[in-house]
Amino acid sequence: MADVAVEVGRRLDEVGPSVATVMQFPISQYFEVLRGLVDFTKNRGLGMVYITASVPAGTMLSTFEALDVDTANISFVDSISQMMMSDRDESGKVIYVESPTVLENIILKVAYLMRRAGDKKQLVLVDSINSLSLHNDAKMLSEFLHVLISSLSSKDAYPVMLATKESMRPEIAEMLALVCDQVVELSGLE
Amino acid sequence: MAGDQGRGRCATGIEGLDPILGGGFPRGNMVLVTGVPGVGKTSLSLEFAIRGAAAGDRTLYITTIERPEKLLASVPDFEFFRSELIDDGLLRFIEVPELLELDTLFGRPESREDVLRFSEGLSKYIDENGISRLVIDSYSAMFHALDDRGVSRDLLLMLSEMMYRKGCTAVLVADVEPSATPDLAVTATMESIIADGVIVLGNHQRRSDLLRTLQVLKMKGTSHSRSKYVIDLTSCGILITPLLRGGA
Repeated sequence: MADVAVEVGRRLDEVGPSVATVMQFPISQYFEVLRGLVDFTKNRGLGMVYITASVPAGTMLSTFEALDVDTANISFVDSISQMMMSDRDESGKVIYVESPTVLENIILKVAYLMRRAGDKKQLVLVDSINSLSLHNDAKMLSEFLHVLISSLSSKDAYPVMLATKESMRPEIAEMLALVCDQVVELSGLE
Repeated sequence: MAGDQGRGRCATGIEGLDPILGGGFPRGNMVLVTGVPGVGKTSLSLEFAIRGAAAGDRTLYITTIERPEKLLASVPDFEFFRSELIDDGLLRFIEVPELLELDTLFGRPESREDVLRFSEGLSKYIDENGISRLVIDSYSAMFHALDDRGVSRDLLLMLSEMMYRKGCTAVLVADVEPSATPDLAVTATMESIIADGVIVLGNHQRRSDLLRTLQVLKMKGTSHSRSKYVIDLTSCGILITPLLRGGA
């Protein structure tokens, strides 16, 4: 069987930038998928804008550190910490948005980080669609993804959306198939 | 209309705004930027001024409330600002008394005569310094010492004619009372009727979230979007994205 992290990079390589990709996988493969995405950006000299809607960015940074994953090229847009009144990360790698319901502010913070990055190409990761769907209805979410993907595609970025299979509602899966360019199934891999 | 098209566009330099306006403000237009406190009127005006100067337009920024140095210190550290713009005379900050050429109690016009003197002083300053981009921040605060509200409208008419004649594009910042309903407050004023363009900055409440918004209500000679946009004030300048409707 193929390695999940390798498969993630292979599928992104196949389509190249400006293609909105949904990565669907069982929750047990979460960290392998993340490793695959980080490796992909490292190997191709890309930056990563990590939109987190489920776990505070500070926790993600600690997790990456524990997994010995280099985060030098990663910036975070954290939409969950302020709502949960979590501690702020002071590393300078995190920009905070009030809550996952202010989707426009998430788009604007991504735009800000893209500008700051200059010519360096970026992979923009939405982690995760399941979490965002807890706070927003499908229509709002589809409009958000449409605007975000359009702006990223025009900048030759890699828009990647994570979706865990176990908690995916049918209307969200249907919406993703409409809004995104490809849905990559990562189940059955190791 | 044909004359306006012949004058070309004055690009604001604000990345998301120029596409909404079809390339910028029509050159020689006078645009009112209005809204309640804290929504980004000064940030927008400063960016318009700084980016214009950086593009080679001789730009004058008249402050009526804050001293220029305090004004510059109170906005985000714009990454596109270069002190050479001031050193080279492309970007100038002045206070009202410099144009009144006399001392008034509050440094603002206190009579109709003062207003006329201000208008003449400004006209002379524009001619002598080749100014093609102007900001008055805030226009409404200039008239706090005057009981006759008609004076501000008269000055607006004079400025409108002056800007058109000289091909100078102006942004006038106008404050709205926090208690006012922004759209109604703007559309009801004579100032918004006289101005060539009106941009409303405001707040949009969605459940417990408050978003900063921008809406172009009016722009003569321009086919523009009238939708609401969400803005963010950053060190890279104002960033703009459509307000999501969620199918509503």
